[in-house]
Amino acid sequence: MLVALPGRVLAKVYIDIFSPFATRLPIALSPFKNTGSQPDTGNTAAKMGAVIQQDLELSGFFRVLDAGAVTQDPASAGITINTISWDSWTMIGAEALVTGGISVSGSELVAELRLFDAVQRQSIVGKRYFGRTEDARLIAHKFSNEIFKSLAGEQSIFETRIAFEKGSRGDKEICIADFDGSRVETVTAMNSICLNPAWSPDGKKIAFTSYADGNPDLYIKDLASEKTERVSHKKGINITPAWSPDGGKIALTLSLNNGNSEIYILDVATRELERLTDDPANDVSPAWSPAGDAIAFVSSRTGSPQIFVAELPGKKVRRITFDGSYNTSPDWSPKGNKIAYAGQQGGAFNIFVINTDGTLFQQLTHNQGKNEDPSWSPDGRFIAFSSNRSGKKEIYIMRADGTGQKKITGGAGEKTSPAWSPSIK
Amino acid sequence: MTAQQLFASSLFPGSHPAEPKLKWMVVLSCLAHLVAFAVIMGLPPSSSRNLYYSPTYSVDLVGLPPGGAPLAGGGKASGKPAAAEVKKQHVKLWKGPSEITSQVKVQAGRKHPVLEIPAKEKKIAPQQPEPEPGESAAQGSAEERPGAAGTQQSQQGTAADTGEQNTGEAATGGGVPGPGPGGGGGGAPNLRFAGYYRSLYEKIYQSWILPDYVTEKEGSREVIVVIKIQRDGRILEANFEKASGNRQLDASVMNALKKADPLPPLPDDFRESFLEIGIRFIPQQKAP
Repeated sequence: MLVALPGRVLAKVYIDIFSPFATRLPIALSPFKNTGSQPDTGNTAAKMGAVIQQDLELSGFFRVLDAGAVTQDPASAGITINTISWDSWTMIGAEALVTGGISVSGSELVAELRLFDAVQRQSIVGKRYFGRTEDARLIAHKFSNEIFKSLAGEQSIFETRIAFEKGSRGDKEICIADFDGSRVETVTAMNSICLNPAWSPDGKKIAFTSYADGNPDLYIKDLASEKTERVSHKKGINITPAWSPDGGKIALTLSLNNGNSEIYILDVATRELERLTDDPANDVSPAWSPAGDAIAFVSSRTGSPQIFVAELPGKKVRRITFDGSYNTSPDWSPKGNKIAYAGQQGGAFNIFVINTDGTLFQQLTHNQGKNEDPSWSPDGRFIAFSSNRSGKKEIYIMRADGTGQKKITGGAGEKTSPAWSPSIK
Repeated sequence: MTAQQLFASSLFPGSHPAEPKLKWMVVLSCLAHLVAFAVIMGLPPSSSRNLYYSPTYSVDLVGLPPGGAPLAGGGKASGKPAAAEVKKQHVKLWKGPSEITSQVKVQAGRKHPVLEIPAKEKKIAPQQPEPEPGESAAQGSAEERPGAAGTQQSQQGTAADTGEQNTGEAATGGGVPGPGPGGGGGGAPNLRFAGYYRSLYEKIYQSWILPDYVTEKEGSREVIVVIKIQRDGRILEANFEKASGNRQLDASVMNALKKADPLPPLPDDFRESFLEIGIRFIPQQKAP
């Protein structure tokens, strides 16, 4: 009897629980409050909450809960750890809670934003931002990024920007907007045609082509100093720039020999040129691999334009795309395993993604206008592109699997050739 | 007739005259039993095993490591370093300020909150000031981020157990349950509580939320938490037997347990005052 007993008592039981698939974190946003003495005439508190809600929903990782379902009066809801009515948030299933208090004084804005673990009732991150009322969106995006960093453990796209061409046929300038299309700024004012914006890897400069001097030459604009410098004005075209990952070089398309375009690599400091491709057919639109060891480009060497990859040390070229009659605008994913491009199939232009070894190509846009110029977000989770599905060309963003397509630009002029900025630190 | 006489007479009918000798023999016998019992209790655990209860009712047997883990009777989990003790009510997963301590002029970094498993009970802090925000702090925390942890998956298993209870390492190292060295018999009776285990499984499973941003990085790195359930179903304690080191994953598991608390009351025919049971949380990745 006694001998048998210990064996029974010592046996330890483990229950195995496998995680459910594809769950989104239920997160609640307590309505942001005006904690200052002056009235919030611009409705800044509500606007900031809306920006954060939009960011979280866009990411695809969160389920933003309806704060209206909370029985308490939102206006009296506490925003600090000791004043929050925790039960009402856990009742609706919130795992995380965001609270905000702002105070406005003239054009000055102070925002206190907090993120809590609503189950453990612990604070995750809390920040007090000082800015101007017109920075409210920026501050909201910054805190969205804090939320994402704290929970997902990585940088979000919420503080990134997108450069693009804006204008009409004979007059295009380069503009920059937040990734959600707000806060548009025009960065070139050349009263000319400016094309092909490309961010430097540090996010401080933009290379682009401009006809300001009559010829399509390559320029670099320093965003902080506002200085513009012409870096390549070879006879013929100087177009489709792409910065190397270390920022020291720019791959571009030149047509030095009788109008036949080839890919060259320009050393930004010394202005020395190295020729990458050599083929009687046209080669354009280079895109660096994130490791800097290969360049994807478009070539018509096999007849119709297709995507090719040149390995850098040996300049060995291999073809990537075989489907479709007209594949252009490659952009290499930040993780290095995929290339996005615009392709024509049956008369329609759509965005595709293909593995860099040429396998598993996937169509991301379907039956909605002409879709062109894909550009990856720095986290590799999103792709920006242009589409005329609304009647004229605008910039759209979508998740890298094609879901969540969303127009981010509006107003006058066509917008084309989006370039997603690096993560701005 | 005294009880002793009764006892003696039943053993040695008609031997009343030898009573003193019998007394001595009984004492000796008791001593011998006591020694034998002590030896058995202290024996290496090759004679016992862990039971893994999966929703599919499959049960695997594995050897229990030294120290064992007495289930009940007021016993303490022996061989468990005090440092691994986490009182459920005081799990502090986030080391963040509960009030704002950093002031940001529109752009500034701050040190990332870091998962902290406190050595002992800790109240949610009246906040200590955080280190000055700055670029360098943000950089420095990079290696504590789960992104960095994710790259160490090859060391999954024992490496992740550093500082954790030995039991977890030996019992689940490599995550390959296999037949235990001991014979059968001992563990089987526990399965009469299978219905109860199923109800635990359902309640905890429904409470567990694990967003894709965690599974993307962590793959199937498991977390084991040992919980003590008292008779009315309340969770008395929840201790990491094997933490993942990923703050989000560990937090999701503790949140699931907290949301599932109270669990269903212990079955009536479970006679101990509380049940200690391991919950093995296994993240599953979304199909590509």
